[in-house]
Amino acid sequence: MTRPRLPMGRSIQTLDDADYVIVGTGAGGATAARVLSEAGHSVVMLEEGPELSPATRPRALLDAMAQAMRDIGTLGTAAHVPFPLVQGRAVGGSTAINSGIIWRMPEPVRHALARDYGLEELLDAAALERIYGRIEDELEVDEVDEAVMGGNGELMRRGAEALGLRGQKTARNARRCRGRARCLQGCPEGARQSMEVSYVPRAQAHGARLHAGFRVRQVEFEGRVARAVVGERVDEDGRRVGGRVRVRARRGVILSAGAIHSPLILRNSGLRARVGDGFTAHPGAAVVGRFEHSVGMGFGATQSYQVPLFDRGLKLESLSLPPELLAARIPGSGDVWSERLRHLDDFAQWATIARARARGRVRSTLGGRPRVDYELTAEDVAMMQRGIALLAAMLFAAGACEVYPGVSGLPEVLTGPEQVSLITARPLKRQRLHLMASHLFGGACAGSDPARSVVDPELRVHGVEGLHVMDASVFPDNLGVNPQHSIMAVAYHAAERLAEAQTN
Amino acid sequence: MLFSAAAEGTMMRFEGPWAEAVLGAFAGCGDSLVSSPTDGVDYAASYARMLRRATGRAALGLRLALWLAALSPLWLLGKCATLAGLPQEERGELLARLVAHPSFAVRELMLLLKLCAAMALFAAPAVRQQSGYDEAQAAQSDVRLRLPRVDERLALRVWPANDDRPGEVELPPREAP
Repeated sequence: MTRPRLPMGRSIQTLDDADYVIVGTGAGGATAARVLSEAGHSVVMLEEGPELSPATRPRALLDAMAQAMRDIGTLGTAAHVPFPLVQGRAVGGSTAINSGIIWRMPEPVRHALARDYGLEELLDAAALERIYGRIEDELEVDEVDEAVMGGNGELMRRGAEALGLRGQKTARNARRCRGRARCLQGCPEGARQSMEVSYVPRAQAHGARLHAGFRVRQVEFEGRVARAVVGERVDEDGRRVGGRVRVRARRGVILSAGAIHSPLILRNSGLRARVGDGFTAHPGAAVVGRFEHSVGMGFGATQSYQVPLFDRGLKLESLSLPPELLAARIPGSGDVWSERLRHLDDFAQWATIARARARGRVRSTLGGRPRVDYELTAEDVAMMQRGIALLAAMLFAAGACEVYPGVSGLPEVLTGPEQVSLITARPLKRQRLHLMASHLFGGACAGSDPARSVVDPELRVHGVEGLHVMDASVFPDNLGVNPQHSIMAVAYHAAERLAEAQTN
Repeated sequence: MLFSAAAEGTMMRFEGPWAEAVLGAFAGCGDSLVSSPTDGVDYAASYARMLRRATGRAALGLRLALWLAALSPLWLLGKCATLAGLPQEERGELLARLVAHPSFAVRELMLLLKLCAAMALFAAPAVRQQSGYDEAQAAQSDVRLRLPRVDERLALRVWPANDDRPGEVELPPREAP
């Protein structure tokens, strides 16, 4: 591990201090804050984004994305064929904009990670079972209620059943969901138990303090011991306001800023070896179908039905999006597009995500911005191709009269199931697909071998003291499922062990 | 309205009208979704907001996208005009060509503009209402679903032929009309 630089400065104003300073309030940070504060430690939570009230979050997508999404969703990979990487930037992190899907880490994945990276204790099956159960109770996790399945999910169920594919209703942290289909903009009733309405206030109730609008740049060390973080106040647009500010940590700093920004902060702090390596994601693509009747995407749980195909590296999901995003996926321009938009209620949209094999890396630009080098492999593209073909087949099986595969070089509109084979007729080049990713992993990978990892099985950064990483960046591989629950469980377990160690 | 976005300080003076012309062309003119100017769609403001909040790289892409689209009559048709100088119906046709352009970069940039256009459109209550998107929410989803309607048996090979795991999907027969 490179020797940390940046000795403690004296001219920077100190904003706050606590036993633990946690950077980020998403699934990892909020969970760590909840555990440590309840164990009696003083905690400060730092969040770059704003603190938003669910009741007042805007419905119009541009306003909502500008408020709660990092760079309004425009951060892209720096590959030859780039695609966007979507992350939340608000109190609650990405849990404030996701659909609240809850998946336990699949057992084969858990087993492989534990075995291959020496993470047997962190990923101990019995411990995770206990923690999953607790989180699921606290966050009101349940399968989507039939009453809020919505037309989009219901049609996917029909399509899957017609093709003999085994699907299931989605489990979400939103037992009281009333089907507003506004997860991306923030649940107006606060039914989704994202971190800003669950673990963040719970930690605050146990004395944790929250500073929103605070961007951390680096960790400061005394010798090899992390003692503080330094950053700056930012406004809602992310622009710096005022000078540099320090927050001191008596016992430790926990980075939970996600798979891009946790590695970036580590690198800015002089920790370079293997930091930012091993980045991976679940690339996703959406397919839209038009029906000769109302689908009703505007009502129902945002993602109510799914078809896991783990042996194929795929997961298919219904995906109800705000009209702006749905409209952008509908082909045509001019009057053709306009005609389709006048019947926006007749469309269903489903997505496929793939457990990509590609590995990339996170670095910073000269200006300190993240640069994510990540290029999908031919095998990854082939997986996406099959997922898109399956979605198209399911849409026709569910009764769609038109399907829009969103693959360049193919007809924009498929009018019958016999055309689905066009999608898989020949290998696709990556640039013919339109992709995005919101499940990001790696960059500060965990492992028992310091030569292969950044953090140890207790999620402490190798080679220094008092510095931990608790978020998706510690996963040495992607999971094949929505990562929120796994992030929370791993952060919970590591924070619990940290609290116990301090007590002892 | 045209220059409201330029006032936010992120666009050059002529880019506001360009954004109005280009993004407006996505929605068409005839019997279109935007029934009248009073619908309150402000394309330039939507574009300016995206420009201001995007990463530096994406903002550069957005600006390039606007210039490519606005000047597409020049580099695509060889006409000495901007998109705003073309009749409405020709604008839509030109955008369709750009959206399906062989270059990945051009396609993605046009998709970004289309997203801007959609954001501007659906920020207007009248457009949301005309689209019918919110009807299901209002009706608490009494959605009438039909049975699958597929007209012939079709064996769809989704997995490679040499893959020994079963993956072939057969669609059920379509009901007689």
